[in-house]
Amino acid sequence: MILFVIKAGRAAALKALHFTYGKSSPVVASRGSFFLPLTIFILLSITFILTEFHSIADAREINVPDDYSAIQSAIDSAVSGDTILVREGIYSENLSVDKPLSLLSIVGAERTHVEANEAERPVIILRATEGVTIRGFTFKGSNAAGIFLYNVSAANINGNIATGNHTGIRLEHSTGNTVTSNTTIENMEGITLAHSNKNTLNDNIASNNSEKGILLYYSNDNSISKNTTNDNLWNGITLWSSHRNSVSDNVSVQNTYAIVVSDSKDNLLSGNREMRRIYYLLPVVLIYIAALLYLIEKKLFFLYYSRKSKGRQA
Amino acid sequence: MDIKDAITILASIGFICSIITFIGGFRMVRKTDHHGEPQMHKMNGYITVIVYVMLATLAVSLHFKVLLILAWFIGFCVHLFKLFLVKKGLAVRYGGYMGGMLLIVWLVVIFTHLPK
Repeated sequence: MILFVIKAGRAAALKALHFTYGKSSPVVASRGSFFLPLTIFILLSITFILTEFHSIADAREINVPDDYSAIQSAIDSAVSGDTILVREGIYSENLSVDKPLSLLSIVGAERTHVEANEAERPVIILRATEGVTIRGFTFKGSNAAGIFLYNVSAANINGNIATGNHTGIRLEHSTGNTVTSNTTIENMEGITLAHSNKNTLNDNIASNNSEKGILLYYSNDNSISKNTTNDNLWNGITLWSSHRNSVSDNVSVQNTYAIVVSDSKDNLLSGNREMRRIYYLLPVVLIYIAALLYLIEKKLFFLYYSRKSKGRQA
Repeated sequence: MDIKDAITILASIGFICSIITFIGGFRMVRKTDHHGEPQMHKMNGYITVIVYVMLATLAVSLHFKVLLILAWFIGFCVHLFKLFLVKKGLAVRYGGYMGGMLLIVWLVVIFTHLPK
């Protein structure tokens, strides 16, 4: 349709040019002295705009499993700017994306699962690309990572679930990506940023992981806000050799340590709700201490007032 | 040690004092012969009230909110009411309930002052 419009526009423009400077009648020429150049200008503008945006207008939608049974086949056949729509189901694949495209599930992460076919590889790896969108999948079963971004920029990772992997979401040597509203539970590490700068981690859940919730190392100028990192075996949020990061309004409860900043400088920590697991036991410990102190205090008072009463009697 | 840690320690001291006072008061009601127990109960009680006032002052000065002031004031009223009952000679009858209420007040205080 768009190609037809482009072709029609071009043909009309050529015809108008031919008409103006070729076989124009005196009547038309006198009447059209104003209208014809305007028509030509408009048609040429439309043609130019449509030609300029040809690549965008040409972006396709590929449906899985309607067009391709495997998601990777759809990715391989897609060109930059294409959108791959995936229906609900369980897909046993290791995906690799190296071009800017959108990979979206139709019904959401709860019912669209991608499981690692080879456990040693990430379930999905984005490599050396930019502007990729991954939304609404459950990635699981990798000893590497659920979602792995390597040398990626301006990607949008949104509304995914990563569970049962070594690392839920891992960014390595990646810059300016947005990771929002993802859930990374029951991995070894929830979300890890390694040598990655200027990324945004917002509104994610990184809980019940067997090591750390969110881990940054050698990563600078990142924004980590409104994330929930509860019930991780070690730290909720860890900054190690990472500088100038903003860590704000996160909830970090029931971890061994809530937020750990080590060998890092100029990080801004504000409005985080932290509570170490051990502090829940504090009132119980205090009750025991109080009972013990009561017995000691009672003994002391008893001795003092017994002697006092004896003194009076004497 | 920052101000939050200091508040936690102070709240812990208050909580311990309130428990000691509660145990002492409970025993006083039940037992008749006691050497120095009323004095002990009185001393711990006053320490608890002082710690409570200190905590309230610190908390309000850190976060000046109407609801916060109201909550601390209600807690303080519970303390005062307990004192009032004792002075009126109603400690044996209602003292146990009031002591229990004070303990609950202090449980709320300690849980809200856990490190965050």
